[in-house]
Amino acid sequence: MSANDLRQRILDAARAQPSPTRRASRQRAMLLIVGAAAATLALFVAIGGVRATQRPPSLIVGTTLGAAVLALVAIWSVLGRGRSMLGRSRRWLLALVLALPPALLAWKMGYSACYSPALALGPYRLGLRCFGWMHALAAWPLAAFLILRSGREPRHPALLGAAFGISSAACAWVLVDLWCPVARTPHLLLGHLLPTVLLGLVGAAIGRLVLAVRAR
Amino acid sequence: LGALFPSEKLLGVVVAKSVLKPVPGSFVMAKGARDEWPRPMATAWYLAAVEDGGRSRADRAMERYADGDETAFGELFDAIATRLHAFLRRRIRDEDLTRDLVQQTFENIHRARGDYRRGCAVLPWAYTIARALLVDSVRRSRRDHLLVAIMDDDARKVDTPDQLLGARQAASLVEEVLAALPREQREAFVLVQLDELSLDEAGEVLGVPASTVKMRAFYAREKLREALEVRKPAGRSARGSR
Repeated sequence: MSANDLRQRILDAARAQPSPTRRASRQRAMLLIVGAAAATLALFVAIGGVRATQRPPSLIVGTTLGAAVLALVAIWSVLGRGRSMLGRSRRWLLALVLALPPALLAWKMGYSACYSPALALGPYRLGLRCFGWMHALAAWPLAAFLILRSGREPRHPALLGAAFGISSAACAWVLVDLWCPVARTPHLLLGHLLPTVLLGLVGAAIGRLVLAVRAR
Repeated sequence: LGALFPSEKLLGVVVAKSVLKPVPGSFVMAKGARDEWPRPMATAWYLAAVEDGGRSRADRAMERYADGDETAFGELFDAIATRLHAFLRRRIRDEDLTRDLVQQTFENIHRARGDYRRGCAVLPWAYTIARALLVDSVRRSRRDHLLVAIMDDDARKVDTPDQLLGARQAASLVEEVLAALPREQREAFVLVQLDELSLDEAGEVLGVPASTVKMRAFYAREKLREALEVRKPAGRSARGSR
């Protein structure tokens, strides 16, 4: 087969299976992200929304804002590509995956420590419900991220999947933080941090299967 | 190397390619064969591809293709297919598989055209996709295609059976030395010296900073030089005994 034959074959294959243009891709991405955000917020409202209980409003706003900033940085990191078509480097993603969960925990514990324990720590709860809600709320953004970059990651699909998982967990953390009045360390470890780590692992496993560029 | 292996000018070319830094528009000659073996380091497609402000023909074609200009895909093929083919051919011996992977690489680019970011370089992206497809293909078929067959194309250009034999021996020697290098160093070396990517582009393909690529390629070059130096007396004595 000559180079011209190959050229013709490739052009025919492209014609046979049209792909979305940049504008269409942007619209699809927007639709997916807005849809995932709407589903997550609907679920959040369904489970009860914001629960202040005895927590001062400034504590709720402070812990939530800090977590929201971290979540936004995470989303910007995983969805942005910098100045390359290949997205973030391995180091960048690895730093995100390793640093984000402890940073979320440190912010929550650190900010809560500024308040009286009677107000900030809340009742004793094991954290099983938070554990469940974290997964349920993070599932939507995680699915959206995975669909957006499905079959498009040629370098480190597992690591990108892990970063997607951790970033989705950070989004869920913000909402669970609004809902959960407990800031005790064992509760935070089991109900908030453990799901974040697990979602990172799930993201890595699915990402390896779904995100990788595969040969026929 | 021309001095080490006078009859194997081909190896001289390879090492000249390996040791000397490519300069766009310049010609690099193998040592000892200065007049006979001029070789354009910045090959025709490189000169044709790089235009104003570093924006290549491929980048502009991709830009238009991402915006919906269907004819631009053919232009993109014309701009990078030769390099992509050479990139894959250096890593596998099977011509059919090479062409199949070139096709799959273009199909991936086609599917992801909507993701193309304005101002990004296409070539490192295409190389990275091709590399991922190659690794996946080899992993699936469990075939040992991942040898660096850097001399195959050159070996076809020689005239006499003696030259062919010399070229093949030289090729296997360089291939053997390269294969013994740590994977990271070999990849950096091949991308920078043989595929003629810039340090930044090679860094994008490998997912590491340009400084790391530079360091890895440097160590690979040093090891290659050392290994070839070690083989120099053996090569000469063998020739002398004949």
